[in-house]
Amino acid sequence: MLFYDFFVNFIDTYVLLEYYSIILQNICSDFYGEGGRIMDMYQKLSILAEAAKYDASCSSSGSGRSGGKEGIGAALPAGCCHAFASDGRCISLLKILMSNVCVYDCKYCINRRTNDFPRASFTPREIADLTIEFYRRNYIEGLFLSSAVVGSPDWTTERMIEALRILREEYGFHGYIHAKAIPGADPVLTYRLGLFADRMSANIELPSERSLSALAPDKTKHSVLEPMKLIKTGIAENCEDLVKYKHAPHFVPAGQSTQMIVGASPESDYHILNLTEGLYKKYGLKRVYYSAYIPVQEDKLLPSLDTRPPLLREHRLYQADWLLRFYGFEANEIIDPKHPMLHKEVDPKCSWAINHMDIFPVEVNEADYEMLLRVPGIGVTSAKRILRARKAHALDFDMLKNLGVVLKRARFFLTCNGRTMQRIPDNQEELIYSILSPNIMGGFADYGMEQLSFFQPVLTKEDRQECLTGEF
Amino acid sequence: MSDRGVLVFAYDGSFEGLMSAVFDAFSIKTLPDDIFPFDDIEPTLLKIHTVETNFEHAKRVEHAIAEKLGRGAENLVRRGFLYDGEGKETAIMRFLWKGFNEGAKAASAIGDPDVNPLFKMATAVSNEQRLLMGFVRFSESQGALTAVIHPKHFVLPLLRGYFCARMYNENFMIYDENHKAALIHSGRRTAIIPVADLELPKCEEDKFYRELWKSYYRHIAISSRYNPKCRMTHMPKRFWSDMPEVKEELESGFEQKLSAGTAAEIKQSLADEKSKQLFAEMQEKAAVSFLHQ
Repeated sequence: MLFYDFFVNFIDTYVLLEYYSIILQNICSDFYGEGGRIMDMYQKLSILAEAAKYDASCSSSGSGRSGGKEGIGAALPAGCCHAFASDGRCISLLKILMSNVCVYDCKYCINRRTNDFPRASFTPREIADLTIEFYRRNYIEGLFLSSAVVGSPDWTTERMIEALRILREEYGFHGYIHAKAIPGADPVLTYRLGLFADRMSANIELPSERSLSALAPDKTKHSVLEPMKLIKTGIAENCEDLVKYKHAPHFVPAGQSTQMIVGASPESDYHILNLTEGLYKKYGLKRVYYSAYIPVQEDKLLPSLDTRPPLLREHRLYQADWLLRFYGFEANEIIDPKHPMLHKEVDPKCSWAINHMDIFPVEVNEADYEMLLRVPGIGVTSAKRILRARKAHALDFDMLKNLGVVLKRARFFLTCNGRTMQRIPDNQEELIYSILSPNIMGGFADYGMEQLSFFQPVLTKEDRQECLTGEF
Repeated sequence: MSDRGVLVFAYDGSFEGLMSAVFDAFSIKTLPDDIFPFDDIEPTLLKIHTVETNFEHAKRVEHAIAEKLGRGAENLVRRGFLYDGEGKETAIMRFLWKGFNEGAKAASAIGDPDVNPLFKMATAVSNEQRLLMGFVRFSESQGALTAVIHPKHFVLPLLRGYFCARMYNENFMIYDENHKAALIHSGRRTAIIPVADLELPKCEEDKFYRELWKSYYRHIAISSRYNPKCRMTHMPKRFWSDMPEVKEELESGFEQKLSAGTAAEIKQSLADEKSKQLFAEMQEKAAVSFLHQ
């Protein structure tokens, strides 16, 4: 009997040990990367930043918080860019994945489980420490934490919550935090994550259900929209609580955003802009990001590897998105089913204006704010300066220049005290031509010469600069 | 007024001095043609009025700006004074002359020739402030954080609130080498003091996080979206010498193109030429379709 007991105990211990060693291995690969090799912070950071870089969002706006006497950090409502990467995109947040060990197999994603790719994971403590140390040196405005789905969505979310909890509660961090909602996680966990974050996002990934099922077989429209709904309800309820109770905790005060990939699937700009408008109206989103598809792997369902990312298309979509959010446009004004793609050569506002020449030119000294915003070349800053200045005196074109209003396109759509700056072409074709030509001052003067340049790729300098920022 | 010659004011270069000059101009009921700090004035035949800095007069003028011309005007004058370049004193004087004569709307008359120069200066100062809020880089040495900056305009007073709010419990110093002044926050107290010459610690022990940051900076860029012009517009080169992540690029004159990119990205860049051609063809087709639409 004694021997038998001993034997069973021995077997038990052995099995247990075996079991623990498996767990240990898992944890090791989780902490140290593949094969349990000890990975230093440099390697981890490079792998996990590399894995996070395709997320377009890096904005730190929407939350205003003055720094407290305790802890560290504050947040500016307008956000702050701390550097610009060599691709011209703003670096505002420490944008990393907690882990890139993913159970999913989305075809467009470099972190998909079938990709032979170095894997790494941060511990919550490492994330918190790195954020604080970067923040103290003024490298960043805060943290953008996302993660591949490690094990299960719940486990992943719990670890993310732990990282944010250490930051907020132990280190008293008041800076900006953007957290990615993990699809499929328990609503309670997603809510807890939101209590520590300023902004949350759930990526819609692809603009239609069909593309989603083709390219991201583990995700469904439902699983993508579910976290979005959850955050929306959370924000709405939190608003009520904040009215009722002074010390109610803030849930996602800077709102939620999403991102979709453009160019991996066949949807038109018409489809994408209507979807965008729907997301703003129905889900109360703060921001929709577009990410020009960059081929990361060969697949018969995807564009070939030598496809260039459709950066200009992405840029035009952002311009249209701006019109929806700040310029009082509706999607059906910008684009219609007969011409389902935005023009490559002319920005969406200009294109709208060319088709509505009966409204133009508008008088700078009389037009209201909404009308000024519809003039090509006049943005929010310029429109506000015009309003401010004309309270005191009537404006002429020289004054507009002194206010910093760019007249390159605006001069075809404006009058100052009833006078235009130059002759406005009366037929559409000539007008388009005048707007597109970079050096033309006298309207139609050198048509023959300019015609050549018209048929070359027409990208203005600003286009090229703004094209790649994503954040304007 | 017509019988006088050209009138030039000289003041001590301080804000109070300039406010006293405004006070003097109104008491002699004459708008001076120019104002200079003492140091910049060369001996001339012009009539020079030397302004004596009078704190009581300065207070009265400041008070009048706030009361009669409002916040907007106060902002223009305060920010305009931090502008580093010729003509700020004259711009401020002309603005206030117009303001006190014509009333509060002067602050919004930003297109007016008497106001526009000051508006442009204040805007330039604000832009510099906005950029530096992001671009200041601290290094840690013995628990204290130090940073050096070389701004065009004297923006330290405008950075004060921003950094003190977020780093209230830290000890830090920002040294403006161009204007020989430092913002010092120590033991929860803050001051801006003139500094003659300063040798900052090398902060070798801070290398760990600096190298991490440099590595992060390289890896977060997407090489197939490489766009040096865009980066330069948003982050002008004059800031680079104080930013560890780009300092080496500046010194070596070599701009990084490829981050340690994935195989696909490298393949991508090889395919670049071919796709450029395709892209151009697409563009051409689109241009034709636009005209036929």
